[in-house]
Amino acid sequence: LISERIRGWLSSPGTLKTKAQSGRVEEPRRTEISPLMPGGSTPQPTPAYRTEIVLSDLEPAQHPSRGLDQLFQALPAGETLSVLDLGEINQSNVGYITGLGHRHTSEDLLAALDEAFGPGGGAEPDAERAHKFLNEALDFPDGHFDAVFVWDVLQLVPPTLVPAIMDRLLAITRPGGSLLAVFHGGPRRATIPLHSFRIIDGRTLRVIQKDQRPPAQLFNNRSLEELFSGWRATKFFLTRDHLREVVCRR
Amino acid sequence: MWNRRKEDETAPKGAAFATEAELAKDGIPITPLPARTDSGGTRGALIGKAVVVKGDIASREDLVVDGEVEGTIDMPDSRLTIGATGRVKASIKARELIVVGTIHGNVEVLDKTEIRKEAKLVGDIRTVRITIEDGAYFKGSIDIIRGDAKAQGGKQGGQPQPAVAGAETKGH
Repeated sequence: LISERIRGWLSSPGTLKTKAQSGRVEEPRRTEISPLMPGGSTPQPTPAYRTEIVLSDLEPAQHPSRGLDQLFQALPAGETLSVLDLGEINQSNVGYITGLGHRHTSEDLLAALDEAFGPGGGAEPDAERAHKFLNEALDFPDGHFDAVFVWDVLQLVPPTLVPAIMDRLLAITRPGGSLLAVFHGGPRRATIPLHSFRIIDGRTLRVIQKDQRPPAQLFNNRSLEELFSGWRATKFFLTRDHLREVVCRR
Repeated sequence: MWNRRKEDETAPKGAAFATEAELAKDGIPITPLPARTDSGGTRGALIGKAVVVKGDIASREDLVVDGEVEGTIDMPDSRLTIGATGRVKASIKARELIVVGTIHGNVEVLDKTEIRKEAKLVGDIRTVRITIEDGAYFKGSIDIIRGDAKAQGGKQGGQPQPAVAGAETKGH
């Protein structure tokens, strides 16, 4: 019913235009409505019944992210924080994080994996190469970061390397700090989509598929719980794109 | 004779040469020296593809690096462009920085930093503004120098302080 009302507003003259109508990609817009509000009328927000709906269908690649929302809510306000982004660098993430006054640190973990072990993971790494990789890719002081964005890289890490990386991530995250990781949640397939995650705002992500790769490891709920067992609190969110977001608190 | 010789001695040396405007008035064609430009059409000094510089560079004019530089680059009033073939292993201070090639080192930019899609930059950046194209490789931290900190830094002899805590340096 709510969805129909929103479409009614979009199609009525003088209201918001869709992507197709305007001919260009627009930023996601939020509209606050009351469930009791009659369709087609001007929204009159009633605080007791206010519901926030993100019109993410205007741009298919954009969707609300509960995980992102939870992570940013957990960050202390008014402080300069250190944020580690383990995805491919992009303007959106740098702009948003530095715009909040934080320091953005970038380390493209997938590129580092490809460089260390060959594209696609290659053979299982021996102890010496694994140690060298960790020292080069995640050589940060303990307790250094307030937030870590792992995105969907962990699925491509050779299984024998995953525990060492998780230990390292736990060590470099400050007590009280948070981590966000994303996992493919669809049916088992030979390859999984790899995404570029762009922060649009504190609760919206733009997800762009950039590649398909065979996963080094697929995680179910139980294996995810084991993976993050060292963290103080863990929350799971399933998105409409068959992605599972995991937010952990150290 | 004496008077004439004295006039010759006191005449300014440059006066013997006609200016471009005077020559043009007489119908003499003038071909100006070609401007030094990089592939992007930027004017300034150029370190060519086959040039290797080891040491400290200080410049008050724009500089394009298409070769190799190892040391430091200090040009707080000018624009530095690292061309596609440029490879720099240096700490850099510049007013404006455009990276198409490779930089290993910490960077301080007093205005705008542009990292193009082919670029590779390993080091920490302190800058006022930054644009990063998709496909660029960057490893390090980015601190944005705030306006108030920049103004304060200007009073302290052109050493802008970041609004955030001092930039950490990652092992590289």
